[in-house]
Amino acid sequence: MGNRQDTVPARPELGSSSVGVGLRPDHYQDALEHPPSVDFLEVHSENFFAEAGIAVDLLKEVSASTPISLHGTSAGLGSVEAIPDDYLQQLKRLVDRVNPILVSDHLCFTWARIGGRLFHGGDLLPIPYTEDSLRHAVNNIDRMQQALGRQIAVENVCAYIEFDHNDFDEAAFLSEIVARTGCGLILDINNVMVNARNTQVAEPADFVDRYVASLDHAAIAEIHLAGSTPVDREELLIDDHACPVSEAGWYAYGRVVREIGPRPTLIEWDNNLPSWRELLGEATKARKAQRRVWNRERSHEFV
Amino acid sequence: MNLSDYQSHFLAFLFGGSNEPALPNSEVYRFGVEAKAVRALEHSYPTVKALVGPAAFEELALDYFRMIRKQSGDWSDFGWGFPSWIISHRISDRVPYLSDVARLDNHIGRVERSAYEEVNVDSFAEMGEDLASCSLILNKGLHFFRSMYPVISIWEAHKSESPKDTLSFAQAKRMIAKGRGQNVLIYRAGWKGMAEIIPENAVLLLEAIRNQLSIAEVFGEDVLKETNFTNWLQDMIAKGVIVGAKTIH
Repeated sequence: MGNRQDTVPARPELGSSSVGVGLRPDHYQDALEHPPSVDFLEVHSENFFAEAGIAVDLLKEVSASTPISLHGTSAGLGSVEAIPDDYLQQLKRLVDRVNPILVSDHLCFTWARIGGRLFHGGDLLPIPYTEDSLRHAVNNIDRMQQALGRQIAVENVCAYIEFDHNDFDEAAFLSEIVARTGCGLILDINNVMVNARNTQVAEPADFVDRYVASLDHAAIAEIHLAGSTPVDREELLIDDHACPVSEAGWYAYGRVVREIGPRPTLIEWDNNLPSWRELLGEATKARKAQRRVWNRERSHEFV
Repeated sequence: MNLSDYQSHFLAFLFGGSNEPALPNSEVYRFGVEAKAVRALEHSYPTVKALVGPAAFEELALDYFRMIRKQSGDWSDFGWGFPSWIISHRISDRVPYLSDVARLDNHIGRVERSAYEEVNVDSFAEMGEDLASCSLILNKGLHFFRSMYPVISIWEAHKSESPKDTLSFAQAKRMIAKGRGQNVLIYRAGWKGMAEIIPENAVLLLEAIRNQLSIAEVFGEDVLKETNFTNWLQDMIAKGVIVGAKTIH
């Protein structure tokens, strides 16, 4: 039985044109010394699971002035195995500490048993989009929403492998999850583009448009933007979050915002980190991109 | 293959237990996870890495990852069993003190992430004249242990870019040649984990306090009779090692 929206407390609201950046350990000092000119900061939940210590204290301090979006990378919502209780307890403790604007994780698996023992895969491992996967994802999302007593959002991932059999395409699978659990969605535009490129889709921009068109727009709680290090044509493109958002990424973002309206938007940058200032500059670009779309829409209204 | 089998098989492949990739491109995930495992252990065991060098450390970390695998969602939890696992690894034949050095690194990381208790000053005022009915309270977050090797000197030396130029390195070398070790106390100053050498009688004191013996019993032991209770207690309170006193009878 799904955990429908009416049984889950609504998430705290953030302005639809809010822009945030990912806060990573290299920038902790900067974030304290120069409070960021962004609407929210995103952190990876597991980095703050410790009982106490510098990271926990820092997050408490930063969260007093800047809203926090908690983004998990380990829950493995698509695992056949149920998310372990101790993981959920640690996440709940963190949620209670920082009262985040959003709690999210990815549509992937991480937990599995080998010889009867439970292990964690340590990465965002892809799942086939089948009825069986759907059942397990719904169970785990329900379980997490119940444990936290609030709605979570689920993000689409990059998948570097292809499955022989799927019952759904990814967007339809996500829509089904939303319908059955009342969860929100994080639309990672770069992940959609990387998957399109790696599967040699002829027109990636059209692919993104079609993908977004078939999602439940009302469920999209946040948009993620990131850059991937370019590789040769025959190589696999890896979603490494190691460079600025590409021109194609900004173009796709503009089209998405025009299609679904503005949404809280996050700039993700996890490797080969730029200066804090440069990172905040990427957030400013997102703001400008939203404004460009907004101005264009208004001028069309006048016409 | 059903979904459960696919997920189990995929993890077995990631951990190197199966060389049969589940699907083409699966090795992208294996490379990525192996890199994360090495990075997580490098972060938790900086002295071990400095001692053996980056290449040997990577080999060691990957051996550990493939054998022990990852059991929690938090990468900073990964490797808590590394110090005891090292004992059975062939590298310990060459570097017999490596496990104790890893233990020191591990305790420092843990003390930095633990809920380190504050000193309850008022509780000392409640200590009566009768020391047989009072015991001291140890900070739950701290660690201490005996090592057959000069682990603190090794740890101090390897904080430097050029360990061999340090006095600690020379001291460690001398002590290893003489077969002498060091007792270690790990505590926290602010957010930072600290380690220092403590004498054998301090270890005995801390063990007795941990066993909840009364102050009279602790300092009545023959071996500890010469210890200056006041000075020792002041030092331990200043470091947050002793966090309070309580009546026990």
